[in-house]
Amino acid sequence: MPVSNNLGGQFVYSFESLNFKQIGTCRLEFHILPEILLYSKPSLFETGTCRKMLSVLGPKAQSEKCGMDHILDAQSKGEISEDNVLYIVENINVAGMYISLSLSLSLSLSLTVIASQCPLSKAPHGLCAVVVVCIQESDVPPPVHSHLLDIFMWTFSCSATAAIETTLWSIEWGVAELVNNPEIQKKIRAELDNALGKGNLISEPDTCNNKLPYLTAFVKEIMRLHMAIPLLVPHMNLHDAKLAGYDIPAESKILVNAWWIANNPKYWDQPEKFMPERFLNANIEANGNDFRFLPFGAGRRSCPGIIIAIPLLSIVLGRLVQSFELLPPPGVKQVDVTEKGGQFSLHIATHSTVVVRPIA
Amino acid sequence: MEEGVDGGTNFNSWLLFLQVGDDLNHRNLSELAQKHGDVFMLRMGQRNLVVVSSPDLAKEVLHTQGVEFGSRTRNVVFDIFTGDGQDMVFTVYGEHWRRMRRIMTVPFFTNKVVQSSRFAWEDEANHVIKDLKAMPEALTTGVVIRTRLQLMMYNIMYRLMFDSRFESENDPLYVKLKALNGERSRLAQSFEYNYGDFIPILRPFLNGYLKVCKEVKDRRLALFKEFFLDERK
Repeated sequence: MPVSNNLGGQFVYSFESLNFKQIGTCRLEFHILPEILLYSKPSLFETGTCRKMLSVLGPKAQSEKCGMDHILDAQSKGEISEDNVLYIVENINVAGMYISLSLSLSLSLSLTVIASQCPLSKAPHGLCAVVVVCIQESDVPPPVHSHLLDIFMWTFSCSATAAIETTLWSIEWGVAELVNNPEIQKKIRAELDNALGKGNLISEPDTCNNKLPYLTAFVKEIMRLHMAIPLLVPHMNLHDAKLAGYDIPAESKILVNAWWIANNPKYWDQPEKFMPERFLNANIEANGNDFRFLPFGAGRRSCPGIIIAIPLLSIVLGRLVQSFELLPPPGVKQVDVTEKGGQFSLHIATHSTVVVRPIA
Repeated sequence: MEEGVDGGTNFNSWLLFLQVGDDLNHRNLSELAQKHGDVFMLRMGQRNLVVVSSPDLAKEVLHTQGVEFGSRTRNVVFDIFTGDGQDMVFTVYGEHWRRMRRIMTVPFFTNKVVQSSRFAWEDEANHVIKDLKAMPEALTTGVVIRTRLQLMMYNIMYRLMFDSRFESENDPLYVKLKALNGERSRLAQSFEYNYGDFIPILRPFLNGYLKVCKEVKDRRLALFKEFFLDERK
């Protein structure tokens, strides 16, 4: 475990000897300092602020230079600007999350989990966590510091929203398809009632081991037809490469049209139809075991969020179906499922208005 | 690339650019794949864009040659937020990236994390159900339940990160965060900036767009200060 210590509100995460290509070797530390934002801007930039703050955490914490101190040191030496420091603080706030999927999702998502280990429940809003990236003992040239910090924070902020938004889109598609396919909705409800007993709401263990094959197939079908990130996150080849016998010049942007692969009649029977049955007994998982179905990508750069997204989708959609009959609003037969694509995203164009009738 | 689109001449690349330049969505690219094959290249100004559209070639890119094709691209908006530079550090698939992924995936993307946070997920789903039952119009004219689901997703992430949640959709902080996040999402994934991305000489025309990016960023910062700094003094 790379976790070096856990001091009350301070959680330190360190990487030994990260090797940055052609730049040097350095060590990164992430500190989560829940109270740092208590300090207004001027005091934030006084070196020693963190030390003061850490004094409440006990002697061990005090003896160590905290992450913010390093950043403030760097600032006082002119290696990074005040803007950089503010930028770090700003971006680390969850408000700083916005979608850009051109970077690996894994870094930031992992950081969010680190943050979850920090006991912040006492904090009002609970938002005042700061992850500080500290570059220590580095032989990285100074100008690179601020850049590293920016990029790191940027990555962090991107991915958390990516996680919220993409999952939300899938749930939204799921609700729309449930409304438009009442017979599918009934089948899911019947399966849940049979497997769990009426009134027992689905929980995470029920989503494993194919205990609920139809619900699982339904979730996969949502991701196939309405793939949240239809072109995956773009890849790039650093050097000249070959693909299918063609020369690919260095630094080309490579898009994998995962949506088309999952919706091409060459590989799928009536791909335009919403048909969860196609996944029953098909042994096609979302984890990249079958390259016709890659909602999370595959291989080294695949999305690690899959481990959360899949059970979460089943739980949320499953509980909705168990609690309500989901119906179109009066006078409407089907809700509109026109899609709206962004550069990286595929979501529903009109948010559906839905009638929910509680199930006795 | 004989099979692919010939972007070799200026004429063709400009033509292509006009065809798809600002709308590289999955459907347009699927149509191009049907015309030009499972792999084709678009030369967009200075950039080469390779589009892969078959399971076999996806396997080649993601798995077999995963190292060769394992780096990430950058774009002009990325540059704005990162300071226009040597972002290779974080985008290149290399020793550093591999180590990061290993270090972070093993302890955090595990079943253990799922097991410790699943109760929060289930609880948030129950909150949605309870709130929907309390809305009289949910049973008559209907409601946009997405709005409530969005709060649920924020709460699931906030609980995961900070062990805290928003009580309702009316929480003023939630309202503001959501609005600004939405705006930033739109900016980051808009097609608008492709022109300047593909053809650097057009970048000056992006100034207006980038100004909006910056404004949104500043407004978020102001909000952030208001709630997390000033209010708590």
